[in-house]
Amino acid sequence: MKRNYFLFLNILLILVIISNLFNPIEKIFQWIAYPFDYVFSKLSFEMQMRKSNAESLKNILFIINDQNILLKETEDFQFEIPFGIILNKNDREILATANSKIKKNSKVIDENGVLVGFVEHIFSDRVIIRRLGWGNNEIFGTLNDVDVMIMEKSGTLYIELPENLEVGEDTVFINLPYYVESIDNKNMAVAGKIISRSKELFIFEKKELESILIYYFEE
Amino acid sequence: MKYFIVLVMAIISASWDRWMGEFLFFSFPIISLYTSKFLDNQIYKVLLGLIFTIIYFSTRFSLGFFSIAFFICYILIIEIASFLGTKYLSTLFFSGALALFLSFINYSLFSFVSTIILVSILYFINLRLMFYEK
Repeated sequence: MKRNYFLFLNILLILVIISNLFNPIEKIFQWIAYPFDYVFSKLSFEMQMRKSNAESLKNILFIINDQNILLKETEDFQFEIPFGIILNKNDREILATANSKIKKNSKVIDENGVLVGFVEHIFSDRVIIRRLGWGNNEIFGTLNDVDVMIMEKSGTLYIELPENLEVGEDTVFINLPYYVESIDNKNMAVAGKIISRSKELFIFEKKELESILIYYFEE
Repeated sequence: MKYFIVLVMAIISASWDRWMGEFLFFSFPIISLYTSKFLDNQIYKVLLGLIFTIIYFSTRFSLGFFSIAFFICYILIIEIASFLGTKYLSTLFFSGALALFLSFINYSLFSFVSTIILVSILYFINLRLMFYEK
């Protein structure tokens, strides 16, 4: 009878090793629980509204649903920016709302134009955002008119600075060239400090999230 | 048929613990308490734990060291609880140890306390009648 324990433990060990080698396999398990996630996310959404004033938050969400930020409008083309409010923060993911339809993997920025993360899951108006650092993306940015590569790997950000480039100890803004003039003429950027160095890469600590409003950008 | 029930129960409890575990209570210590007493075959108990750990840890955190540690803890608790029987304190130990592990990961002591209160209420309402038929 004890043989069952070791059989199932071995299965788990093999699954852990495979999922660490190929990260997208974890997403398959998320689809299994999708119908239950859809129901329970609504419940936890209602629970987390009780932390702040639930009635006023519902009113705000109701007002938000009708309003849109229009960037460009022509006869057959309309470019809008969907936006939402952060409800719960975690060190790995954020639960937020969205006022209109958004796509997966669209970029999320806060009020100051700082990149927060990428959209991972959508349950109607509830959105789960994967924070910057926890994905497998490689982004290009510019620092003092020099191209810089940003890599994210298991919770930390690495940047590749060219030689002879000196950076102070204050917060560094690395501009991202996707949306040239986004909201209020602020460029989309990654903000934070450079802590230390490992071989050719510099470890980058991103700034704490302060604002509640977030905007979604599709590519 | 029993395999199907175990699978659905594991998925539901994993999804509940992911969303509501921090704020209300953990469902897995309660569900595993019921199944460990009433599903006689050992495979069902271990399969429930395996499916729960895979789905819960892959959605909430990531599959890694803590998922293996949780599964080993679950196996050890099953083995110890089979000696202790179905008295009140042993059921508290069974569900309390699992709830302590889950609340330690989620940084919420409140849900550990609420889970233990819920188990102790369920024991005197429901479980004691089922075990001893009196």
